[in-house]
Amino acid sequence: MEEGKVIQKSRLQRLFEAGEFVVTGEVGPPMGADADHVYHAAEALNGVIDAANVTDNQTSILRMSSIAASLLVQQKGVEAVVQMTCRDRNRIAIQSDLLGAWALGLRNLLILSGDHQAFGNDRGAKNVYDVDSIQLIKMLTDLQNEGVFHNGKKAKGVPGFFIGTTSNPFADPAELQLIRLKKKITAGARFVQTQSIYNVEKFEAWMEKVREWGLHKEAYFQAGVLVNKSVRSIEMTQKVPGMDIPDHLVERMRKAEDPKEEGIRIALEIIQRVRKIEGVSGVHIMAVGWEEIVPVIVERAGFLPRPALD
Amino acid sequence: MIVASQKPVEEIRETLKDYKKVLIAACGTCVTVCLAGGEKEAKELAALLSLSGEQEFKVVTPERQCDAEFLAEFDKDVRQADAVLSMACGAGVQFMAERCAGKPVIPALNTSFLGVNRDVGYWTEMCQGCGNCILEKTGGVCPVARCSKSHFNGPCGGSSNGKCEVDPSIDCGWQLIYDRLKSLNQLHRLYEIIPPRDWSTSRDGGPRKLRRTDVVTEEV
Amino acid sequence: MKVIVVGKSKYRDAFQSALRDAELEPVAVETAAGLKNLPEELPVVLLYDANLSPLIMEEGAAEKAVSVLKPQDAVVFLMDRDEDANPHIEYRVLETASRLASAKRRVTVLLRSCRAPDERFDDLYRIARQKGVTFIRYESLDITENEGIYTVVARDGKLSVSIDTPLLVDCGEKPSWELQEFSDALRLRTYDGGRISGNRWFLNQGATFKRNVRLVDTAALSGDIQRIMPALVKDILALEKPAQEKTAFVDAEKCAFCYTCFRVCPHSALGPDHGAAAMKVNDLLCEACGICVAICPASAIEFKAASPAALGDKPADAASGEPAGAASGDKPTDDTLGNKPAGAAAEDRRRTAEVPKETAGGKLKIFCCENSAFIIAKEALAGTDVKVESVPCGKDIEIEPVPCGGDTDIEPAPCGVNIDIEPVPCGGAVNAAMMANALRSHDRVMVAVCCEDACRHRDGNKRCIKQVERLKSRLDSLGYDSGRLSYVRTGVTMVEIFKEAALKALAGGEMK
Repeated sequence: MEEGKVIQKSRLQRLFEAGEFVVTGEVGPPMGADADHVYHAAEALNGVIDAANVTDNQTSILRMSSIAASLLVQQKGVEAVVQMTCRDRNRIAIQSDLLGAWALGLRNLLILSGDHQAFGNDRGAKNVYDVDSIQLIKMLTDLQNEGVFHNGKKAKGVPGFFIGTTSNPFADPAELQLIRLKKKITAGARFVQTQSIYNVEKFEAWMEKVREWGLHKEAYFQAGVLVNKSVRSIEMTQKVPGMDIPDHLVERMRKAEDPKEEGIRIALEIIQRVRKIEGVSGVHIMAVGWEEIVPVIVERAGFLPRPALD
Repeated sequence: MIVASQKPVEEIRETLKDYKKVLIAACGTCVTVCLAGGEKEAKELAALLSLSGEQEFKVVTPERQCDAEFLAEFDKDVRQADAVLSMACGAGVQFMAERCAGKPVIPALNTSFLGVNRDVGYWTEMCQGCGNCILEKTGGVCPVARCSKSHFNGPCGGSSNGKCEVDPSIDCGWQLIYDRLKSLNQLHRLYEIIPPRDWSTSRDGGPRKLRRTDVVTEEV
Repeated sequence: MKVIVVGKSKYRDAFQSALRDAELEPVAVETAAGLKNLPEELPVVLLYDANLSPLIMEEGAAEKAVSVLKPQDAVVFLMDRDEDANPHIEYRVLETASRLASAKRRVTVLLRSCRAPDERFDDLYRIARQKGVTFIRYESLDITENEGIYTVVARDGKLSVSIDTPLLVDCGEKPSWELQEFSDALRLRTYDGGRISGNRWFLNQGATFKRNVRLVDTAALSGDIQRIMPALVKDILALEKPAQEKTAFVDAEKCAFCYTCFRVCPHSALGPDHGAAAMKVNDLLCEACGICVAICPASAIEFKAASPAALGDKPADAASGEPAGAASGDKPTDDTLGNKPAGAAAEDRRRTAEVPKETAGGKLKIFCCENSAFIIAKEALAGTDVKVESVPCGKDIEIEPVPCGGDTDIEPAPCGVNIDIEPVPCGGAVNAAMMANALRSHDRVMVAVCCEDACRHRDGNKRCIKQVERLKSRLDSLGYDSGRLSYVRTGVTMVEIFKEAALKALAGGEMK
């Protein structure tokens, strides 16, 4: 950081550091240039969550950029977490965009590999992956600590992002995924959001390993929770590679009279269980295609009001 | 070896339709071995394309099309043809085109990758020609070619049961690396952060060339 | 003549003695490693006596085998078959087990799966149980042998059962655990599931696809070796000469050393000649099926006469230092099949391939496998209105059109039709180029191959069908009527089927 200038830490960072149980949500940018779509989503989340992830061409589907949409979100009083994948941009473009993001007042950054373009609508697009997520975390952390770019040049204005990343407790091989998580934290990741949890036992076992490796002391862990509103939704989720959904939960949705309410109940149960696990410092709530339910979940989970900070 | 496969036959026919006398130049090396462009395939293609009775075909098989001396043997045949259908890889097609001034040279194959033959009729991609080999760090499995995202510190979160999220028939390259390093007692290598790659040694730096100046005495 | 005798059968000494009586020289080899440096074409007799599957096929044989056992000895049947396979072996096992149990023998059947494939199995199973046969389901097995007694430990979850038996009948389709190593060392080709030996699910007392290897189930003989000796000795002596009049021959200049022929040869007759950097055919193992000729991507393999007079045409030994295929003035010119010798005269051939000129051939050409269709072709089409001529490879024959009319109960083919029949050593000897060229000179082309599992050359018939299907789809892409090309599976007793297919093809349709 430059001498003499005090950069205020983001709300998210301050809450984590104060030991609060953090609640974040998500805003998915529109498949177009419609700013109102973002404004409405942000307004609904104001006061309900501590910060909102703004996805970056998620599942490789072309949408408004995360940085632009993050700015729109912040204009409505909700703190944004910019997401940056490695799939679409080379190191020059990524750093360039992030310097701009900092200049625009964005403070939180989630770095991830990004789903391969085979999943999206532009399968013929060139596969960039100039740097992988670990290399990017390290590049940025080094820049923020030393004020010098990877290319050797001194930066005129150094960003100070609160850098986070993702981890999947259900991916294999388990040992390798943990090694990778450790590398991400060593490289500079300060918070970790996990893949959506359904199999709580498996997540508990994973957190035990995390604690064994002391990783919970080096980074803040947020448990990912997805809210499904229908049987179809949970069935589709089950098909995603890397997801682990026990069949009994799918059965509950199938047998429920009111699948929406059941989906909410399941999410709340998971939230209540994971918040008790040692090392878990927050939840990250995802309600794909059902953003309006997030305030309901947050309230019923007993997370309101959100802590105030000076 | 270079692995290629024949273009759909109707596409080949379309590209040859304006020519009456076509010289089919097979290639006796890589594309013979991957059953795409050897003499046998050339003969079959000639027979198929001859069914219309409207064109004449002649088949020749240079040992390979990437060395000029082998191409020289067939200069006369080229002169007598209206066009050449080259069944070599992209390199051979271009070399042939350079040589056959004034004659259209049409590719019969789609050249795909550097790979190995795992079984009869089965080849898999192994090398991207990135120009900076780090196989000793990864137990002999290449992250550039065999990880769909070319991760150097993989795998990504989509690795599942040893398979890649892109396609369940693709092995996760990092699973393979992990298994290998484990069998070599070299798992410690995985803790090392491999820094960002200098891609200029790869095709990203522009078309490449290689010179061994010690084997020529003339000034280069 | 040396004969390698492999295996630790208790009948080995008797066997070797019988071979000596026939003036052969047995050489005992006990381990797979011992087979390594021996010449590939030496006769090999593989003795085994654990797999007694033939035992249950012949009534009386099972009874004879158990007659030498003590009353308290158990007979153990090991049924470890592919669940989806035809259960005819299971029927036999259950019937035999029931018979033996009725005769007061202790019989146990070990099964991997208790799932009854059909009602007949269910009935036989119940009957067997009523007769006192014990059934044990297992997940894993351990079998050890000590002086003729097999100890079988069967595990299923936490349960485990141990049985000792002098008579272990392995009805599985995989080669028994003893044979796998030898099979690998001898490069024996197997079917799916590892069945060696032709199309039989059990190890046939006789041939494998490799002409110099014979399998002998000594226990099925119950020690009666003399029963098979005369035939076995005759087969062994026949190995002094090549199997056919012609043999495959690799032109080392054209060979790309891609190993494709090596991998597909059903008779393991090809091996690498590293000195020449090319494949080489062992003409004492070659059965001239033509599969390698058809598949070689470099068109480097042809047939040559296998007679001793043609020896001069073969590539020189690597040891002599001559480059393979080197021509020399005193070698014979064309061989009996009209092939040019390797060497200088082959330069042209090496680099330029013939695209056959279009000739008027006629309505239908049928490539007929010599092992099935060709034998019945003329008979099948006799008495129909079509004139049939056999066309030897590479030559065209003028055919006179035949006037319509005549007395048949099938629709007469139109005037002026003819059918050209070309014999091929195997369906696998026909490749797409041959079929495509045939389509240039004929309206229609059909290939007649042997039935599923009946191919003498393991999978030549399947290879052919795959090539037909691929060519048909290419014809479709080009907008041609792929119905012009068809195939049919026949056997020597399937005259009507061949006839129906041929006439249908002639009329423009195809058998589905």
